Amino acid sequence: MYQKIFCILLLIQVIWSHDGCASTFRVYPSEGRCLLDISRTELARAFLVVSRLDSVRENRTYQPGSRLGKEIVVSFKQERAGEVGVFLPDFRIGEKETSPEMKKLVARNQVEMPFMICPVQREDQEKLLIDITELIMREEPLFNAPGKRVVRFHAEDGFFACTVMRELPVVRRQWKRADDELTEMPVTTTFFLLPETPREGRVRDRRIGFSSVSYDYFKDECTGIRTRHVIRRWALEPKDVEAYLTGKLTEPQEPIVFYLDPKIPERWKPYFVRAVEDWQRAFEVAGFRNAIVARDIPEETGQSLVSLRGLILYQDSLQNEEVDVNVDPRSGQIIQARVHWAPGVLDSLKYEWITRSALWQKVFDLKTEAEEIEGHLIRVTLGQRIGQALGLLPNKLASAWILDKELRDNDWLSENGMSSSIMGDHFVNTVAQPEDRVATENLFPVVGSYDCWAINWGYRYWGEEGEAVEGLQALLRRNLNKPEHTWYYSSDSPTAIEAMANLGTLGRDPVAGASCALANVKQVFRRADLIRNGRDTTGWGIWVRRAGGKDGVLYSIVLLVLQQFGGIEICPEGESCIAKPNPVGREEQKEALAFLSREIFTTPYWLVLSPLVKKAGLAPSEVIAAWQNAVLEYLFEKGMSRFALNQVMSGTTAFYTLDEFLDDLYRAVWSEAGKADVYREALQMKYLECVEKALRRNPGRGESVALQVHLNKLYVVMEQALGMSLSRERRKSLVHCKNKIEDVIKNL
Amino acid sequence: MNVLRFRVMGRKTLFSFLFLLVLPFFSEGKGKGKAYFRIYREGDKVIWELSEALIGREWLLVNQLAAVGSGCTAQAGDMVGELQVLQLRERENGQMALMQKASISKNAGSNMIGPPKPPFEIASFSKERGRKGNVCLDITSWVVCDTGVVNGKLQMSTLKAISHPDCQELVGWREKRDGNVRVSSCLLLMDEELMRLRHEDQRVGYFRSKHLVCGDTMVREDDFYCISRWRLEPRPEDMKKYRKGILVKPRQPIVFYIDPLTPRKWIPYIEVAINNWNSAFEQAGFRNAIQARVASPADSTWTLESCRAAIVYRPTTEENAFGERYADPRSGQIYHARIMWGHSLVEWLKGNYLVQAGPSDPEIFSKGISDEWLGQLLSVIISHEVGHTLGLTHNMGASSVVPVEKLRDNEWLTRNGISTSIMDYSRFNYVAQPGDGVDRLNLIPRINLYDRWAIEWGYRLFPEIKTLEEERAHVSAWVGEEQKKWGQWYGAQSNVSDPRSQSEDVGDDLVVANTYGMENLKWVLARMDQWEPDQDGSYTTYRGIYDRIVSIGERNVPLGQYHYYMKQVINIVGGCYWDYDEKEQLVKTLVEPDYQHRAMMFLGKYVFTAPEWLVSPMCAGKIENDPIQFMEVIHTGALAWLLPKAGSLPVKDSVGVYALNDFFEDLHRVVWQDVLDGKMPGIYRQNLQRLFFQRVSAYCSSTGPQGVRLYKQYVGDLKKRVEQALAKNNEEYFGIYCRDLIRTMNKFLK
Repeated sequence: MYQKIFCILLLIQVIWSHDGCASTFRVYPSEGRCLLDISRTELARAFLVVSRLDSVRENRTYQPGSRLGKEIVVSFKQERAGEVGVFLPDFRIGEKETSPEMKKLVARNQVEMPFMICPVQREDQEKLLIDITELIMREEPLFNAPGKRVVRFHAEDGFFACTVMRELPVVRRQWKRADDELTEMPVTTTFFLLPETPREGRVRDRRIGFSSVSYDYFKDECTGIRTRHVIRRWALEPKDVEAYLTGKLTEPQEPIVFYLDPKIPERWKPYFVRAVEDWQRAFEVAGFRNAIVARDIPEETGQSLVSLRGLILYQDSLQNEEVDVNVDPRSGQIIQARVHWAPGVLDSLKYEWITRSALWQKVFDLKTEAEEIEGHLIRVTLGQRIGQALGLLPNKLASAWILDKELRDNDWLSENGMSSSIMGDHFVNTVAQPEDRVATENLFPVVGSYDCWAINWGYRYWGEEGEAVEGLQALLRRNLNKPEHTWYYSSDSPTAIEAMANLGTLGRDPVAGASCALANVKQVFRRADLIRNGRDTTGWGIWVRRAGGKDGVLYSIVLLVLQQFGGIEICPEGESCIAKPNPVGREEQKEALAFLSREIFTTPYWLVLSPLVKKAGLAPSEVIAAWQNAVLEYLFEKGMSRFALNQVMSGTTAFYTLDEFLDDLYRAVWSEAGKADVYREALQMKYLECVEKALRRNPGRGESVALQVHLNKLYVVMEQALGMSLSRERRKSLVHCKNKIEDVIKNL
Repeated sequence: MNVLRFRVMGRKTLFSFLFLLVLPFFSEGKGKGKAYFRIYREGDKVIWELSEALIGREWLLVNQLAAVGSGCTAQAGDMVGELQVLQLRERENGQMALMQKASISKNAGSNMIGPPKPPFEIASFSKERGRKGNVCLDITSWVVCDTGVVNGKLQMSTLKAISHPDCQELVGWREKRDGNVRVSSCLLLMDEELMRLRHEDQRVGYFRSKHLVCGDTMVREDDFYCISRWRLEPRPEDMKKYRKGILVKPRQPIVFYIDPLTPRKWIPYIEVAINNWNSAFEQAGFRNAIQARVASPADSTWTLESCRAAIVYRPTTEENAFGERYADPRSGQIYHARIMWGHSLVEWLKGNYLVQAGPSDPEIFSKGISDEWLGQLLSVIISHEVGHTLGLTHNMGASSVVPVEKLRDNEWLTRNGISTSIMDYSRFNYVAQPGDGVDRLNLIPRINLYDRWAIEWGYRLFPEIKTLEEERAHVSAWVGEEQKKWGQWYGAQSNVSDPRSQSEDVGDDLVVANTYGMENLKWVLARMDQWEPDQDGSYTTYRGIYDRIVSIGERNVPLGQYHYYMKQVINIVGGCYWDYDEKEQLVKTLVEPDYQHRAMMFLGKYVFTAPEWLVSPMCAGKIENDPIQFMEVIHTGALAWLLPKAGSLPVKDSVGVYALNDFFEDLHRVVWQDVLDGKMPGIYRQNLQRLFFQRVSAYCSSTGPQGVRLYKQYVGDLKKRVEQALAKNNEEYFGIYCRDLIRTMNKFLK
């Protein structure tokens, strides 16, 4: 009786107090219950379920808007009156690519079973009212935390969402532990209705950097299971297909909209807008006008951000989350994207990148440009993330094809940019020097020709499917042989060849690039005005202290040079422009060593004389030793073991042998065995320590023989030097070195 | 009148007489309740109706997955638990007790968990009278509960009871921990009398089970084994013909049903794979003993699960096929058999055929493998699996009787085949070289001499022999005679140290055979060099084939054809031949010293002299692996297999024996010759020599003092030789290298 009364009251409530607007669904929160009114045509359709944290209180391990758990697809099906089953459809087998015969065969191993049953409160010929409370409150399989109470339940066009207080560990970690202290946090889960027919997926190409989703398919009876990778991309179709196909720029039916977090400071908003709308250039190449836009969040959205497909979140700090893209697993269609950005990014860029570029002058001397530079940095960092949210992957070869002189030529840069992609490794042009008078905007990467090519390939609309295949092939033929369009897929397999000599380099010549960057940094070290009155209030003291170490600016600059020794670089080859690993040549390696000799092993007196070092309260020897030690350690720990691979890959062509390298290194570090300053002596002792460590680490390896030969040579040189007239200190130092060598040899 | 009366009387008598004559035929199974049984649903109840006479008889319960829910890791066709032998017994209180008498595992009882249990009650039911005096049992609780007929709670609404001619089937969805599954439970009446068992013989490869004796209250295992085989008997009226040697049809043929989901294209090839075994049964005296059938689409009550023998197709990534049989351990009678084959088996066939036999069939490089030929290759695999379900084990030695050079002789191959048995893992003829003109059919194995003889040995009946012991003596003597003929030798898979009984090999001399194999691999790799990259700019297709030549598996284990060739040759070293004499006594003979020496030289040439041809695709950017690391994995694998062989070699030198010293001398040659000749080794060889000490140390730490002593002796000798080489060559690099080696050796010798 009471149940009947309750049901009648519930229905009255349903009729009068629904929260549904003009949408596909209507939802009814009632007495803690969640009722979903769904049309029969939407039953059996797939829903993408995404859960995100709504807000957090005094918790640094979570951030609002960050995703909780995996994205999951569910569907509802009615098999019996009064019940609706909730299913987890399995999209591991691609429906479209699997032949009809094979589909029948697969069915026996893929019978869909409901993981739970939801009661139907009311149904007619068109609609059903389902009670999904249990689905939302239970922990598995949709959520990794049990629900405590429903805060909000609402629906809009194409989705419904619920906000539930869930119990989460106070400290966020990958795996929950039984003894975790728990706290309640609001989590919003959105059920996006996926298209009835999945969009046409674009098959991944290893020469263009798009992230992808994959599924298996059974082509036919004679072919084993194949895996298809389709790229992640937004659904973009022209409003006027006819005009589009004749080559006219056309507006899309639905643009990609990134809404801006209201927390973004007003003065920075234009840069945020530009970071998004810079990508319009790329979409124009693909034939779309105004395809991507930035907008303020509409007021009517109220508290709910779940309805927004694209959103840029401004946050105090980032917890390892920059971009989150949710896709339809059947086609790779991007359904929702969240881009996180925190102002802390600017601080690190300011110290690490501005000092390596000609910007130092603009920042320190022409202070009026400071805000503009800040704006550019926002544009670049956010632009990269928008690129990811469009499906693109980083492009580590984006600037490796440019000549160094071109990177210093303002006209050339105005036309071509410092990089063919904003998705590259470099935030700033570190090659150009102040005297090159390169305009500020030319010192930053923009959405470049590679980005345009990639977006064109990924987003171009082809109409019929057959045309897409032919059109894409023609597009590939026209574009692949351009160096600026090169992209390299780097395998994360531990047994893969480590090819990194030209990944992330700015300019074709990494040594010239490093020289230029170093020249800029040297200018910064000459400045006494960065630290005033002996008080480091700006962070420059910390920057100087770290400069020589493995996370400092000096080491970072020379790292790309160090990677040349025994290195392997990537070069596109043949008509198909497939990336091929090539050994770095002998001359290039010798040049790299000459750079080390000139800039690092020959005492960098500019550091000794640096007023900035002095103001930071540091002894120059500390910075110099840190830098030299880091370089030597790299050479002896990582560099030497690579010569063998370089030799094998070189085949019959002349290669730089480990012996030659050690001879050259000897000349760089020990050439004036008879006379050396304290810095040099410290370097030489560190050198011997590194040799000893390397010998201990790899006894019996090929490099061990070369090192021992090298030590023997060094020993002879010491003896010869000791036979000459020397200062007392120098003799003492050389005797110490000689004894050290004897010890090393004896203890082998 | 009288005549008339007589006529009337006569008609009545005649009718009565005829009625009495035919009555037994109509009443069979029903009126007298001899063999009537049925399981059906009555509302929410499940009723087992059976004739009174069947109480006390034995039933076989088979549980299988008929379908699985998405996301579930199990697959349709999987068995659920072991088969159970059940028996209904009437209690004094009128209750019927369902007893489990025995269980039947897929390996014919040889790996049953723990000792056999005496019969125990698993359920009890109230007995009610049904129609025509039948007994009706309400078995609902046993069927529904999650520990009853099968594990997993039944969703009652999904339960269907299906009647088949020889079994009753219950099908329904059940809840399992990792997802829902549709389980088929079949109950079939077992033969009233146990089949006569046949004792195993080590010289013929049959699956076997320890003989189980099972009474009403006791169970025991005898200490002899009986072979697993189907019950194949002539009809009583044909017995005389059978005795005379005339081919007869069996009373009950072995019927293999082909999964109706099998791609239609492959069904004719699978039928051939099954029916080809008839040639073997004919040798045993039976005609049409084995039959392939496809279910009629018109029969809606037919299910694959109710078939005693079936070939199940699984559309999965499995590049595999396997055959299982379930035999009653009391008699060896096979009651149930399944062959499963995965969809991706076709990919395995294409790839491995190309890598092994491609040089003899170069057309496939340009045109690919035709569907017809792929069907033929599939047929070979299915035939092999059918052999398993007939009771045959692998005969890994079958290919070892084929003279290796004959594998290049088309005429000889046409007559004799590449292996004497299809039950070997002699996949394809990898010995034939380009230009030998070997026909396609001579590149694959077929049902051959040994298979026919083994089936004859297992299935021929000897009605004139009365006792088991006499029969045992008879068949044993018969084996002795047959073993004298070429091609009848059986090499068990378990003969691990017998180099003849290896998988994936062909020919009687693996050094020669695998040399040809290696040259063919080089040929294939060179041909693949001409392949264009895939349309998406990757080398995925190239990699797919390359991985079949050589690849690195989990935990850095080398895989692929190259690895097989290497490992097979390593197994010659320290090996011995396993043969059984006429009394079935094992006789072990050491492998000829020359063969072992040649094996070591093969390893020197194709493994320890770095096979740079294998890593050239890495230098060309087609394969992403680091060639140096890759070579280290190959060398580590080879050394890990080879070094322990020292432990199985005789320590003392004698004529005609490959002793430890010979092995060590050869090891010097293949691993250290460059250093001992005073030459500085290259990168790969330096790494090999460094790895050598790592592997020696690893071996010594995993073996007893004997192994340590052997390698201390070896390293001590090596050290002396390196010192001698060092004394002759003063070159600085060489000197340092040798001193490094000596230091490492000194550490080991401490």
